Amino acid sequence: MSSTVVDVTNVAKEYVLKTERIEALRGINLKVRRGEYTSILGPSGSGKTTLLNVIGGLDTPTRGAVLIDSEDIFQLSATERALVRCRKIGYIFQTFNLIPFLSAVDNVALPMVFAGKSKGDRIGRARELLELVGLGDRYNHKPAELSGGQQQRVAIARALANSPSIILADEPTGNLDLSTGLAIVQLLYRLRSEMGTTVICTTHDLKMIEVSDRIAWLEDGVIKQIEDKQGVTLTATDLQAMTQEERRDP
Amino acid sequence: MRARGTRSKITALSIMLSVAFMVFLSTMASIFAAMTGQMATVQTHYYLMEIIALMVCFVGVTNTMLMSVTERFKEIGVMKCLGARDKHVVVIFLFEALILGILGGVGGALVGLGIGVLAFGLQFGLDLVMQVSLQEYARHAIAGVVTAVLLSEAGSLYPAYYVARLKPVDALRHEL
Repeated sequence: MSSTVVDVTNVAKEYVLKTERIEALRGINLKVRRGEYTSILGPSGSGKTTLLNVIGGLDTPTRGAVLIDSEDIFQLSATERALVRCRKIGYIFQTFNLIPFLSAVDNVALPMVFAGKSKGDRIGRARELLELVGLGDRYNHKPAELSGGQQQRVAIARALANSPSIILADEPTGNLDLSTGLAIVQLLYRLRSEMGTTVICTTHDLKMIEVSDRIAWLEDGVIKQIEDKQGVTLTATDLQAMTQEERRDP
Repeated sequence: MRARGTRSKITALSIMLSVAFMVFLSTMASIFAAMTGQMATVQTHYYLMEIIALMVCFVGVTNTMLMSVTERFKEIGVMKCLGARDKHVVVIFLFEALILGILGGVGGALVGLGIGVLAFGLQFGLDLVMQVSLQEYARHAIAGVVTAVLLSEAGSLYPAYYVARLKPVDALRHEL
């Protein structure tokens, strides 16, 4: 098996809004190695989410190719792409996006319904995963009965349901406060090393730097720079200290 | 499989009312027939009213299902992200329609029969109402339930098909 799990080649995405043409992505090249935690950093509107959606096969690029495990997902039919998503990709959203009327266990079990697993397997695996993310005592709670951090934990468990090779996380800490967000990111990082899953995470949140193996800086639809963690000196602990100082300063 | 909200209760209620109306009309027709013996003329008249009632019901169900679909764009987008295929989405909506159809149908049949029998029983005496056989009443009720299910499925077909074919991003981006 090749060590490159996601291979984005020359991907461009254009939108047409009335008469205006907007280039969200302008020729992105990105290779992600298996088991790596890659963060895509950039300001709002830089094309982070679009890039993530294209990698996940949710959106079709105007040009370019996305290879997942050496398979070009845009050569596949929409149904085949859905199958790739089902088996190989786990999603985590900024707004958690749990199904409101399903309990935590059922939310985690949902992707397994689409994968055609039996009911017994689904519930067993869902409970295991909830235990793993530290929600062993919240099986039957509805999303509304959980805090933001807990909801995001359920979402992480859901993303892991079909043992995907890649987890795509779109601003997973965007709706959480600093310490909860950090806990979520650390959980993701821990699970990634335990399960050998590849994580690609968009963020404009600098605390993600601490846990990333690699960071891609995206600006105006172009990757300006890709660097390994070693090259980055600022850590989340520094950042937390800085924010606390800011709070103390009136 | 899935819990439902207030909107579904309203849909079920609207199906129930239409079916109740339809079953009431056919019950009334049977009772009148037993009373006068002039079956043919009376019934053509009622069939027309039934058809109108059912058309109202059909439009109502399609409308509510479309609303239900729009309301749940985001949820469907999420499911698609999690690997749901088009068929899963269609099945979810048709299953919901089936449940609504059965609930509305059974409720409507009971209400329609109940009102018909009670109203005429009180007005003309229970003897007359008893002249119509139980089988005939049962036939009206079953026809009501079957119509409700068919209507509800037919009304949901287009919305379900429409939403299943949405691109995942488009469904996901939709905010209400």
